[in-house]
Amino acid sequence: MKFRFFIGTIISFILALYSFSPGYAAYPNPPYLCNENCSLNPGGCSAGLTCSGGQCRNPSCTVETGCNCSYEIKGRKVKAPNQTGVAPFDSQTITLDSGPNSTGDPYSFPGQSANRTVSTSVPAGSSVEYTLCYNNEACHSGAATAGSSVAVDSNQASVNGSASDYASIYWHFTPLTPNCKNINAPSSVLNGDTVSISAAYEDDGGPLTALPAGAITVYDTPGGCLSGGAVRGNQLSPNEGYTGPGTYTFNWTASTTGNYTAYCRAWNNATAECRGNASDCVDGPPRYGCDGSDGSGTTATSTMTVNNPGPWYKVKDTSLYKFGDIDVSVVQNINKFTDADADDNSSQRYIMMGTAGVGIAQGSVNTGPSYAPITLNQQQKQTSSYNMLQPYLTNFFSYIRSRKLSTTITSLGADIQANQINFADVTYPYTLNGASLSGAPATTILVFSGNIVIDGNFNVTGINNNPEKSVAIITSGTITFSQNTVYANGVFIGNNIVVENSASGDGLKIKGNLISSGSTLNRTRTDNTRPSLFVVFDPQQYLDLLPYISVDKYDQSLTN
Amino acid sequence: MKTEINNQRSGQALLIIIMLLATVFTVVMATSFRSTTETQITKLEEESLKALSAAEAAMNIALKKKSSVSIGVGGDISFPGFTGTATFDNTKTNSFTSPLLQKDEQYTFYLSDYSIDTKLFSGSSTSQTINVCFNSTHALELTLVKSDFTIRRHIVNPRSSAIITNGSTASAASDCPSGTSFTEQYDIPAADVGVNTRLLIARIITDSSTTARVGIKATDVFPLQGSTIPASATSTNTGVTKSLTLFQSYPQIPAEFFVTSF
Repeated sequence: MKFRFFIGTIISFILALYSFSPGYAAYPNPPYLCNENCSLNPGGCSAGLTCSGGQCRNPSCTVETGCNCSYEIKGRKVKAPNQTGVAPFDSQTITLDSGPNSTGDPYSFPGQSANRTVSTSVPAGSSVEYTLCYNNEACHSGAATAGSSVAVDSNQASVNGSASDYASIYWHFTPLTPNCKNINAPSSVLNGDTVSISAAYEDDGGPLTALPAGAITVYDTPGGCLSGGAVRGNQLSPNEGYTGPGTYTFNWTASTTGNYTAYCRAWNNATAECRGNASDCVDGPPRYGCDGSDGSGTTATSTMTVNNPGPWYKVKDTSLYKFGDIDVSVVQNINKFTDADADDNSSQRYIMMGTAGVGIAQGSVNTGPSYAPITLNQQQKQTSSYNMLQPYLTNFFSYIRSRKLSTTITSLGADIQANQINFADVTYPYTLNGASLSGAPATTILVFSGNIVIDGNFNVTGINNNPEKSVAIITSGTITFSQNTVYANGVFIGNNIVVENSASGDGLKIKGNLISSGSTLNRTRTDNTRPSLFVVFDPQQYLDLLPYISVDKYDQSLTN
Repeated sequence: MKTEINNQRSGQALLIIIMLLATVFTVVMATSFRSTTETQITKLEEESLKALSAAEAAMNIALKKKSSVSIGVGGDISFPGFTGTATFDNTKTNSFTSPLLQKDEQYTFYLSDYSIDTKLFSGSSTSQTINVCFNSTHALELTLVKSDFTIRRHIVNPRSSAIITNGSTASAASDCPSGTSFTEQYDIPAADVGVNTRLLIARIITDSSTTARVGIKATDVFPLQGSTIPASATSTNTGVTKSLTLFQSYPQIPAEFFVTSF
C-alpha cells in the first residue's frame, strides 16, 4: 500500500512538473485533431489522420496543415521538345487511374486528393516521355523521362490546402521518323520543261532507312495531296542511288499548266514516315509531318507554277541593241524556226546565235527560266544599262538627198531605178507585197516617208517569180509586218517596227537585218519552242547595199 | 648796229625753220615706213588666204571630177595670180588612222580593193596580222566581213575596264600608226583575216563622250581606204604657198544601220 502511494506521488509530481514546463500549452487528450501535436503520442491522431513530423496530418498531404487534400493534375501534350498544338499528339487520351479521361490540350483533372497514376495513349510510330513538376512549370524544358504513365504524389502536389495546388505533366511525343528539308524547286516552270528538285534527308526521331519513289512527290495543288487517303501526284525517284542521309535530286517534267506542290517524304522502314506539307498530306499515324529545317516543317514543301512559254526572239550573226530590257524566258528544248530552216540550229540555245557580236540592253538582261536561263550569246559578251546613239536614223534622209544619187518614183516594181536611191512618193500607209519588187533591180533601195505595211512574204525566191534581191527598206514611219508575213528578206530600217500576230500562228523570219529606233512588240506563236522573231544578218546584202546605205567621212588637215 | 641786230634775228628764224622742217620730215618719213610695212604684211596675209582658197577649190573640184586638177593659166581652174595642183595620192601604206569617231560610231576599213566607180570589190585581202589600235576609254567590236558572206568577230575591252562582259582584253599599244597617241592594241590573227576579207568594221562601245580615232597597222600595205587629195596653191606675186590634204573615206556603214535593234 505504501509502495502504491509512493508511485502515485511520483507520477503526480512528474505531471505537475510537466504542466508547469514552458513548452506545455495544451496537450489535449487523444484523439488529436488535424495539425495537433502528436509527438508524444504518434498513435493518438484522429481517424484518417497520421502523425507526421509531430503533427496530425492527412496522410495524403502531410505538408498541408488543414488536412484537406486538394490539387489539380494538368498539363499538355507536345511534340518533343515542346511544340504545342501538333496533331495527332495534341489529341491523345490522358487517363487517370481514378477514372476520368481527357483528349483536350491542355488537359486538366481538378479536385484530386490522393496519389494518382496518369497515363497517355501513344500514336503508332511515335514514342513518349514526360516531365512532372509540382506547383511549378519549370521542369518541362528540362530532361524528360521515358514512359507513357507516371505516378503523381499528392504529398508533393497538395501543399497549401487550396485549389491552386497542382501537378503539371507534359507528355513529350517524338515521331519515330527521319526528317527531310531544304527542298529546292523552281517557283516557276515552263510547260514541257524538266526541272531538278532536291532535298536533304537525315535521321531524326527515327533513322532514314530508304528513299523509294515518292521521296519527292508533286501534285497539282487544287487537286489536293491525298485522295481517299492515298497520295496523289507524281512520285519521283531520286536520280542518285541511295547511300544514306544526304541530299538527293529528282527530275520532274511539267506537262500541264497550273499550280503545283512538291513535298518530300522520308521513311523509317515500316515504322513511320514523315511528309512535308503536313496539313494536307498527313492522314494519320504512323505518318507525321516532317520537322523540316525548323521543327515545324519549313522547307519540306515548295510550290511551283507551270506556265506556257511565251514568244521570244533570236538573231543570227549580228550584234543586238535591245530597247528596254532583254527579258526572255525560253524552254529548255528549243526547236528551229521551222524544222526545215537552214539558218537556225536548235542546238544553239542562244538569243544571239552564230557569229554573234555584242548584246547590248538599254535596260537590264534578264534571261530565264531560273533553272535554265537561255544564254544571250555563246561567249556571253554583253553589256547593259547602255544607251546607244543612233543619229543617222533621223538624219539619213537629208544626208542621202544631198549627197547620194537619188530619184523619186510614184510606183514600185519596174519603176524602181538601179544604182541609186528611190524616194517613193506614195500615199500612206503604203503596202508592200511580193509584187512590189517585180522587175526591180537586183539591188534596190526604197525610201519612204510614212507608215508602210509588209503584207505577205516579201522578197523571197519564188514569190511572183522573183529571185531574192538585196533590198533596203527605209522609212521615217512605222514598218508593220502583217499577219500574213512569215518571211521577209531585206534590210528593214524604220522609226518603229510592228510585228502583227500571224494568222497561221507562225513566226517571222527576216533575212537581212531589222533596225528600229524603238522597242518592238513581238508576235506570239502557236509553238513557242520556236522563236517568234528570227533575224538573220545577211552580209551579202550589206556588201551589195554598201554604196547606198552608207556615208562618207572626211578628214582635212593643213600641211603648210 | 641796227643791221647786226636784224641779221642776228634773221639767222635765228632760219634756224628755227630748218629745225621745224627737220622734225616734220622725220615724222613724215617714219609714218611712211610703217605704212609700207603694214601694207606688205596685210598683202601677205591676203595672199595666204587666197592661196588656201585656191587650194581648197582645186581640192573640191578634184574630188568632184575624181581626177587631178591644176591651177593657173591654161589649167583646170583660173585663179589669177596663183598656180598649183590638186592630185590624187594613191599611195598605199601599211597603217591607217580613222577620222575622229564619236561614241557608238563605227569605221569601215577596206581590206580588199574597192572601186568607188564600179562599187565592186576586187582582189583579195592579205593574210596578215592586223594591229588594231584605240584608246583606253573605248571597247571595240571588230567585224570581218568575208567575200563568202561569212563574218568573224572580235570583241575587245581596253586594259583598264571591262566595258563588255567577257570581252577580250587589249594589250598596251606597241606597234600602232604614228601621229596619234594610241594606248591600246589588239591583234587580229592572220588566220582570221585570210585572203577573203572585204571589210573590217570597228565599232566603238563606250560611255565616254570623248571622240577618238581607231588605227590599223600591219606588215604589208592595206588597200586604199578612200581618196586622199593633197592640194597646194602658190601666189605668183608673193610666193606664198598653202598646202592641205583632204581624205574622203570609202563608204561607211553607220553603226545604227548595221546593228540589229528593236
